Amino acid sequence: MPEREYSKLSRILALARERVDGWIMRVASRYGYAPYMISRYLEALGSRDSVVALLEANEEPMPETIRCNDHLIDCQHLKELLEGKGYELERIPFLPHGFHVTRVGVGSIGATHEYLKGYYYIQDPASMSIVYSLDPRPGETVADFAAAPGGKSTQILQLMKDTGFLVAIEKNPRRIRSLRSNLARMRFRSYAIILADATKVELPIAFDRVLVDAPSTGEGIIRKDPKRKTSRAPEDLAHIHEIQYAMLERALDSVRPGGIVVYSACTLAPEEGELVVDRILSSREDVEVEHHGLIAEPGVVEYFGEKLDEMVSRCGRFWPHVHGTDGFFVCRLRRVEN
Amino acid sequence: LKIVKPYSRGSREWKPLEEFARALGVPLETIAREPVALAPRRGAPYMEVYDLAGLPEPLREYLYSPLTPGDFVGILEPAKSFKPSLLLGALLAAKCGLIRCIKVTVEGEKFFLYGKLVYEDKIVEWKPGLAPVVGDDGEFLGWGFGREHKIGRRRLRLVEPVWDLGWYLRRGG
Repeated sequence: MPEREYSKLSRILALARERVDGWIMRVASRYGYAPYMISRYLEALGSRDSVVALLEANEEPMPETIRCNDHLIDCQHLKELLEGKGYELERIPFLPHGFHVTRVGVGSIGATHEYLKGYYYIQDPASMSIVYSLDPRPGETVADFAAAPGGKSTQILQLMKDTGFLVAIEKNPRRIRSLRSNLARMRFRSYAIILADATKVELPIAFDRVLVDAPSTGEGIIRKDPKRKTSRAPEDLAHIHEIQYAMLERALDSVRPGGIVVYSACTLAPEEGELVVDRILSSREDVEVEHHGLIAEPGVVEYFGEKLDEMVSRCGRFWPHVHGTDGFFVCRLRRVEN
Repeated sequence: LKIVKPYSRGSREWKPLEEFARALGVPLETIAREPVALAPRRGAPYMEVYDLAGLPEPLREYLYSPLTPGDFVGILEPAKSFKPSLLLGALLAAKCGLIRCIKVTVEGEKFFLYGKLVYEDKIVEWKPGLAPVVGDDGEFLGWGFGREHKIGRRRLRLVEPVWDLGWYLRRGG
């Protein structure tokens, strides 16, 4: 199906509004959500119990987690340094550089001397795991299409051992301040920051890998921003879907044949995840979805009666009530020879 | 970015960078192999200095659009002064045996990173003027200025923070 005929999204959003019954209204009111969001959760999760579990998990504050920068320090040594200051750290089993801060020592974890020296980055586990799926290797040429504030850019350079080259693209000049600051604080050098709109950017490089950690409506971070329960309308999902699709399309054009694009977004919305990938798969012949290699649950393949491309099941979702993380979507795509 | 000035030896506007290298006792190549100055915005009263040596060839054509093309070396106020970056300091601190650095104690480190003066007993090694400041473990902490202050017959040595790592926090993320 050609891209211009992609109409699943509007049909789905119309149904999300229509399919609001008494139970959905009661639950939406009890937890303070817009009813259309609950109807979508029910559709994606398949049971009322799972929906309630998700809403309950969204009421719990996020624990603090950090990513150790082993470009500068041995992670065990960092643990000992911070524990010497009264913090308690516990390794996150599925993340090679991740630690839960289970007890806070003197002052905030973002204000220690170790933080200033660039020894770690404060980052949610789901967000941290995305770059492991990208799997950048030393010496490669990689692009980060929405780079600020630099969590994933610094992680890419960390995994590349600050060799090869990272092109960090950011559209918002104000957000470039924090991107620059974090890259410098963590003492990386093999990068250039480019102020550009990633939906339009054209660079004279065929990248080995591209990360598209797309802007989203923030549905995955309700634990941090409870206002999101009611602040967005279905039209916002349609609007951001267009931007996300354009970014992913551009990213796929920017990698060499055989290259990898990881698409992610801090969202629970299939409209911002599976539907973006489904639309890509319906409009391009040169893309395959590979398993992401993370602990995430499989992508949604049927939503409001619309069947998505089977390959979308290889994408992954982090659910707050299953993984204890922010809500996140991840999908690893390979550009194949056309 | 519309203004790009490649390095030209001995020119008036690049003099502060050359003087900085001389004062530190290192050749200019140690600071930057391919220095270039970029205006951060139209009408800015200073230029940002980058070392293009690590920038891949295809991106050099795009020198007008990258915002950070290569290592950020510091800030150049034409014909006035050169303010070295924290990144440059971290790179130079690795050569502290070869260049003269200021070294402070663990307690001195706390003072320095909070932007406070470090006094005599908290200083392990001292030199006058601008220098990279390292902690007791040799880790870079920032740029400091070694001063001597005369109190009666006694000369008090101190280190004044110029640009320390605490800036990352104080600037708000």
